[in-house]
Amino acid sequence: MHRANTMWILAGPLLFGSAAACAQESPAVETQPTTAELLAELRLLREQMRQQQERHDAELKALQTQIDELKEKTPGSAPTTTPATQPAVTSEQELEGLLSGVTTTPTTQAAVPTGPLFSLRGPGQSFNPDISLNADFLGAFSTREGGTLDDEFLFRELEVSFSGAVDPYTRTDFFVTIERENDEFHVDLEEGYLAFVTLPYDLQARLGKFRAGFGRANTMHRHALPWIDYPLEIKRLFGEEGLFGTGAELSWLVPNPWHQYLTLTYEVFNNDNDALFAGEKSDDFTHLVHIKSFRDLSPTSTLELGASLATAPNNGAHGGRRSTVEGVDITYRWKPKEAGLYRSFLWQTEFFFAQADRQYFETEDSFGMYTAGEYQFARRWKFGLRFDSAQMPYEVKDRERAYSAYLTFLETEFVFWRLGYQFTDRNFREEGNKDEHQVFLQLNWTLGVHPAHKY
Amino acid sequence: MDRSRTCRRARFGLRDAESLKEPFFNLPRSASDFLSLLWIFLVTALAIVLVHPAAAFAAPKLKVVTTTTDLKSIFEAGGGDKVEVASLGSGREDPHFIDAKPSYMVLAKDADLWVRIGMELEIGYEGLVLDGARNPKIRIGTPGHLDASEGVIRLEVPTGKVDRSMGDIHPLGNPHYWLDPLNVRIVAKNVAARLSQLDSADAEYFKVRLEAYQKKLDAAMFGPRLMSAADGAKLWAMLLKGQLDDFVKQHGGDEAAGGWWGALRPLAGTKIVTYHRSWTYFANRFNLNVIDELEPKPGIPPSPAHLADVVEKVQREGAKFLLMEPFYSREAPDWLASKTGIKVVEVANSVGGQSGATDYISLMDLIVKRCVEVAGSPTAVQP
Repeated sequence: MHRANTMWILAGPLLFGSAAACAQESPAVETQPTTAELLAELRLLREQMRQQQERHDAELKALQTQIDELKEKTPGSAPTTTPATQPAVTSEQELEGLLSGVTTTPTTQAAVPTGPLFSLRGPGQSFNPDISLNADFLGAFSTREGGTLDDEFLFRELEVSFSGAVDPYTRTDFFVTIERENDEFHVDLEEGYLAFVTLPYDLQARLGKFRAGFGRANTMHRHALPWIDYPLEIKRLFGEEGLFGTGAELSWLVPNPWHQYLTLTYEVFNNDNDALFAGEKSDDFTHLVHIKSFRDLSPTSTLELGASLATAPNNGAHGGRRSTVEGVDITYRWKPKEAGLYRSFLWQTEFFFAQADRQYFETEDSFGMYTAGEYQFARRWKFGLRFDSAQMPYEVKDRERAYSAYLTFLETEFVFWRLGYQFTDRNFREEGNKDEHQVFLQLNWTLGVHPAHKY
Repeated sequence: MDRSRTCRRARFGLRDAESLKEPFFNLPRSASDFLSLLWIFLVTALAIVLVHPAAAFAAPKLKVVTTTTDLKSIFEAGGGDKVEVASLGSGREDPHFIDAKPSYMVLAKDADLWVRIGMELEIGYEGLVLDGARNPKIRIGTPGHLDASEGVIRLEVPTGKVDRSMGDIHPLGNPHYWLDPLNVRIVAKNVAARLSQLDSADAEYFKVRLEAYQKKLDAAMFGPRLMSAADGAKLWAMLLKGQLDDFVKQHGGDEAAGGWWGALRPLAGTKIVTYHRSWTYFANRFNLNVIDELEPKPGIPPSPAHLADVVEKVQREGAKFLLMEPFYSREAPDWLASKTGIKVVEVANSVGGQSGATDYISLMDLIVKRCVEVAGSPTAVQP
């Protein structure tokens, strides 16, 4: 189509030109001029050309004088020909010319496969979002019959993520999960939000569905945790996969005279968590506030402290009573500089305090916590321990304690294996809901773009 | 001391004779006392301002945050006292694995310019830090974001389809380009151009500093004798065209060849092994021949099977030495040395990575010195 247009554009003037030429030729055929007449005409033309040439020369001369005058008037402009500066300019330009050429730099490395020196990414590719797939495969063995996990292999989750800049002001992240639930796979949106990243006053906002910013472990995707599963208290308070929200978040990086990292986050989202809060029965919202501070204790160690509060109506009195949960999180990390590839340490602890105000009962206060350490003892190996303590938010007499250990082998940044053992000590009154030993083998792999690692 | 106090108080004439015995720094008891203190404060402040006008009205410096110390060194050279540079990396750690610490976000929040090595070296953390910093000035695509790799010579740019079976490979090419001084010369030019764009009033200052820095680099590369025979750019051009050796012959022979180039010239063609593919540019510029890496693929730790291959290759081809950064384990290199007698050169390839490597030029001095030292010593490996 494009080429056809170009041809017409080219052909048009040609046709017109030849037609005009024909029109001029036709009278010449009728009146044959003599040689003398032709010579006279030639002389006339010559004279006209000479005059024109003289005029042009004079005009050019005048213009050149004007240019020179202007140049002299402009401060700092050097005369056009200064022999002193010329060699430097030429050698620098020569070098530049060499560098911009593709073939000029010799590639003497015979041992390494050397591609072209200069290459550009193919156009079109750049508008694709960053796509990656994360697959989580689990082998689980338990001493307890009829629990959430039997002795089985389990394709726990496939997470497909898309992310990228939408326009100069916003970016988006989508995490679509395909999960097994009741022996069937179903598709869910784990997170999907638009983040406004260029707001003034150090603000940032997110709208959509996201993991609630409560504490630390709850904000992380399951495969990014240093364990096989979320700590017990998070599961008891918010459900198997933690607290999510469909709504809005505004966070502020608080300026302070000490130049320390301090953020204040407010979230409001649908009250559809059915564990501690009201589930789908209420049309009210969950409100959440999180404050996070971070400091470098030394060039190799850091401390993060956070406090969170979330509140929403529960099912008592048709949404007239509230549940509130507060949390405190402490994270210490150590990673040496030179040996950082081979050694590191992480200690992470969270406390949860929940108050569930119920219709015919007193407020039920429950408490839970976990504390976990992970030590990297080789380039690809990490060993971790975790202790959990949890109370059921509506049955505070029922409590669980869990002791777990993990050995992780990081094959590469894209594949890891994890062997886990957990002993859960329960004091539940119901029969058949007692102590449990579990062994897990987790295999997790990522296909696609290089993941960015949240600190 | 007492006398001066008396004088001061007498000058202000605000106290009677008895009160002179009291300590001077009593809390102000009346409005006039308060006024006198206020006067002292104002006069002192004025004196400071008059004596140090520069301190009081100094032009704000451009705040630059670089991802690595090598970039910091180039900015300090090119920006002089018009810039204030901070680097996320310290030069001591593996630059692929810098963490997206929130404290880096605070640093980037106030920055006027963010500079990265580029070619995906920072892919593991840059996005998180830039998002967390909430600084619209330094987002990708703005004048406050500089990819230092613009226009540098790139090696190992994959041509076909790239996938992870090739290890941690970078689709835009090997990102360790700063060990080629010619690339640093190009980066210095990028630096000057961007600084002049952000602070056009000082463009001339940056231009002068760029020329001075390039001259310093060229002199460090080629030595004083060649620099007196031709200017730096000319020498680089001749090196690229393969004419520098002839030029040396015409200008005093081998002794004229100085600097890093002159020091490593006798080593041209020397076979070496490296731990990671981070010495490719260095080897390419100075004609060293990397016969293998300890890592079977970029980012994959040495495996026994691969090491056995390396032993065989080193013995067959006769590699002189092994180059490795101090942040890698000595285990595999020492094992290779015990099997083959190859010399291990543990040397930083980033500024700050070892004592003595305080800026780019001293870093290169150190690397070149270590290579020359070890190549000169007798080695057990014979081809």
